[in-house]
Amino acid sequence: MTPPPRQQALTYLRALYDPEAANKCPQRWTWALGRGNISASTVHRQGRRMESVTLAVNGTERSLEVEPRTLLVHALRDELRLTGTNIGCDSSSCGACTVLVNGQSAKSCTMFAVQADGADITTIEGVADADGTMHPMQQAFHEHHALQCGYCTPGMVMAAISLVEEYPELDDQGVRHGLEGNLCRCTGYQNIVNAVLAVAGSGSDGSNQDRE
Amino acid sequence: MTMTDDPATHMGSHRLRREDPALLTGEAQFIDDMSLHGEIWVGIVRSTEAHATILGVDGSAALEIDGVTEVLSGADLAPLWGEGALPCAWPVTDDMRNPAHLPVATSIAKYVGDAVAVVLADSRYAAADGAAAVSVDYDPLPAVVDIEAAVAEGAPLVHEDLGTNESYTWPLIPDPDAVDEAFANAAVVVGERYVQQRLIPAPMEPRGVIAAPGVANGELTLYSATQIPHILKVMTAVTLGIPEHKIRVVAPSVGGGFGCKLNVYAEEILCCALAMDRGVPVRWTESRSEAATATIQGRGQVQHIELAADANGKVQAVRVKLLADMGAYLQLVTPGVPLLGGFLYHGCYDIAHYSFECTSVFTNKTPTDAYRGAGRPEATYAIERAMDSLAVAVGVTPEEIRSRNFIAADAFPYESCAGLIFDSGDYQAVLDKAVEMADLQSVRAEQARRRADGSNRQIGVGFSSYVEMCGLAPSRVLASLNYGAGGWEAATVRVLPTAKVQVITGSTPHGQGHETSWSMIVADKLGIDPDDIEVLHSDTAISPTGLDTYGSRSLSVGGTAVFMATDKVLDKARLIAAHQLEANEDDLEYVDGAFQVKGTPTAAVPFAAIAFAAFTAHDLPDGMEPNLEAHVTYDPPNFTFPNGTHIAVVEVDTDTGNVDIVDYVAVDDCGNQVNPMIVEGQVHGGVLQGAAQALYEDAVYNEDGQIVTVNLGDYLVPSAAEAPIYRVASHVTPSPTNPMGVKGIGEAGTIAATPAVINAVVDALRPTGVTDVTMPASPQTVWRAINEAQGGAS
Ligand code: FES
Ligand code: FES
Repeated sequence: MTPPPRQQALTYLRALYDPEAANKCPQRWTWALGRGNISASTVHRQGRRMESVTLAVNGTERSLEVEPRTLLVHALRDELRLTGTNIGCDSSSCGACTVLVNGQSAKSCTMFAVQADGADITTIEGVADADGTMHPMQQAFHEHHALQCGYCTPGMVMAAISLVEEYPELDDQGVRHGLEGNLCRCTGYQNIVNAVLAVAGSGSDGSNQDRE
Repeated sequence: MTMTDDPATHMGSHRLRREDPALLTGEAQFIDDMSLHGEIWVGIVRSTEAHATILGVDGSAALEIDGVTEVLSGADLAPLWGEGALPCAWPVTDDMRNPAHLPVATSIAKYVGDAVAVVLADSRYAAADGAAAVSVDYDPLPAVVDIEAAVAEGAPLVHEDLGTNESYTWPLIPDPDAVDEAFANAAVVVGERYVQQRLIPAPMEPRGVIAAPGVANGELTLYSATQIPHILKVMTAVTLGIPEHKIRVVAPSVGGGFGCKLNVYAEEILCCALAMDRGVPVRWTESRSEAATATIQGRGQVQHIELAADANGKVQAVRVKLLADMGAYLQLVTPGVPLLGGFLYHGCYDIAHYSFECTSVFTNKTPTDAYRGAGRPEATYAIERAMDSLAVAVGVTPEEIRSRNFIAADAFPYESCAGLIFDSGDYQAVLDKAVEMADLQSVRAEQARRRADGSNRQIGVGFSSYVEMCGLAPSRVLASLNYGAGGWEAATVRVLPTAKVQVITGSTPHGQGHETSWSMIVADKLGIDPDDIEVLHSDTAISPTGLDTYGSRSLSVGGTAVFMATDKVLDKARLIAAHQLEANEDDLEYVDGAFQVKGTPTAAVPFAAIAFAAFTAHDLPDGMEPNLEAHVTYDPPNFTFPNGTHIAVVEVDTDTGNVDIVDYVAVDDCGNQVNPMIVEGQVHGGVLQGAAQALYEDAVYNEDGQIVTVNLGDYLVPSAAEAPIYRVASHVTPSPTNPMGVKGIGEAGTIAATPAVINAVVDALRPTGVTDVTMPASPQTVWRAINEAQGGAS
């Protein structure tokens, strides 16, 4: 329990990050996911069992090694450095982590990266055009002032894109119930609903009618 | 400065936010998005007991986990901070009791969530696994959970050595005899007791910290999801004894704060101390469940309010006794929160006599501190609920009782019975507008119809007229309240050689859109395009001077500093132009981004030419320093006093107790508006937070001091499905306190909404005999209230 003295910082770091040292680590993992078939791609890094996962992320095939219990959201954020997808809770309640998995919106904190092996994943980084033109949903959020701090926004935009795709004939209540799984603490939702309706093109754009 | 068709005028227009694209595309960097080479992760072992002696910390199981490198108890860590307890910057009274609050407890854990040990690891997963695997041996002590129980005879003590659970008592009673006399002579007296439940602020981004040392020269860079990088820098220096000039604090993109990131937290001090000691970056990211107890909570008060009125319902005196829950320790401004409401219990009413007394008590719970509105929502709730009770007692409508008592529009500047000077307002005009928008006549007709029918869907109308003190604050006034800092704000306007402009602000946005609004202010004054202006903030290396963002102060203090710094730039530019035109500077006017001799547009010096001339310094007036840049530190002469009337219309299902907000009208006077789109957004979000206190949110503790509402499944932050549709309007009386005539809007919605919604619920239930509903008015609570009022079991 004694902290290494300051002068040992470098040695200490080397032990943590030196791959040579890491290979010599005992393979101590004892928890298992209960998945019987550990694939041939299982490797061990620093004593941890790692699985190879291949994801098509925003149209590009990406291979990575993750622990079996690594959540998809952590694989995206920490391994692939796609940090646009945010984390707002640990109970699948907030939707900040929403991405599209094979075209369907999913909370990426509710699945393991290994469960997404082979899947098409779209994150917020992948919805604008290659030339940087924002997706109509992003543009609508901008035009309707549907974000303040912006932390819920990537998840909200992804959920909204998938909602409009699935139910093109949305009304106000449809949007509100459709986005129930995505929490925003800043906006009070009205401008979000208006942005989504504007994209859905069914209801009128409520933002002006509500203004006096 | 209201809406205008002049395209050259940006102030008053719905200009879209420049902050949006980075946030919309995922490019913005929040704290957890960052990664520093060689960083180690901190996992925190938190007390599972509300009050217990720590007998031992056993880290052996944690050390078996791959990636866990160390387990440190509070005692192991103590040398890192020595006497350096977490700071409380607001000793409201000289005899306030402020027990030392160490970042990690050494001997006694005082609340569930109190840090008791720390795990260091090489990854976030290992840190979390490690923290879960540490076993702590506790010897439980009796816990104090309820604030009224805390002050009862024989209550267990949170801090044994203090001999009491009271932290301080703060009275504001300008003329006690006059108050007594008013009550003795009153035709009508209303007395009410209200409970402000504790709230979890719950910004969508949890907190996070990365502390990065510069080993060679003893520097420290602290990245934190904070509202207050400037204050945090000073406090980190003071707490850990690191020379302040060696510290840089950076707030990256911050995902909302609502007051809970206005603090100096254990994890910030811990990561800094470890980083300096180990010479490596040390980081921690809060989980949502951790946030329930590791981040401050809001509210937590029991209020007793009495009104003394004449037979017409004109109030003569207000008397308030408050019991405020501090939690186990005093955080940065914990003790000051009740005081911020303590001046406003007379609301927006012309009441002659005032008596306020607050006793603040310790409990074995997470510390409370500023949460959106901080003291003012509580005060507004009490007076607005009590005014409705008075209306019933006198037999008039809620709008009539308010009209009879409002401070008159011609009474400003108005000196209040609590000793403030209100800047401007027309409270009656605001109420009239709200009444018109709400179409009160037809709502009341529908209400009458349903009452007559005995419908199980009763309609209720709730009013809330509020005034708040914002623009925190004149430094001298803060001094009189024993606050440990000033209330000024700093700004620099720097004109670059190519006539592009940098604005450096000391106020620290986390969703409020400062970059957009500040650029609009400067663009209008300089006659240039807002896109030619960059607004820099939130990094003490770039913006060394500032007091950050809280208390709806950004625009009225920070924005005013920007406005004044721009004036200063123009003053210097004018001298340069006069020199070039060989004219007297008094004969010049600034039109469309150029100086010209009045009425002679042919000879004009454009802004760009002045910028370049200031840079080359080839031909400046004698003695003038090169470059075009100005710095202003603005200390406001007074608070600002935003006000408004909100009307909620609810439908209550008397069979199930369910409440729906079916209409919500908000008319606010925040003075002149720089960007009405942003103002509306603040109102929307604020109203929902206030309505959420009324209907959904409650940080529930059981009698052992265990928190029950740990995550967002249990703590009911409303979704779009619960949110009402807001109909928002404004009435403008410019504040004479600052040159832009602005007041502040960040907290208004939250302040107004809670009593509006509860007043509406009580109004709906009046035929059932219900006169009060506790918050949150969940279906169960409402159903019980109805049942009880009708003589059934609760
Ligand atoms: S982080 Fe996935 S739902 Fe909250
Ligand atoms: S914009 Fe801040 S949480 Fe939605």
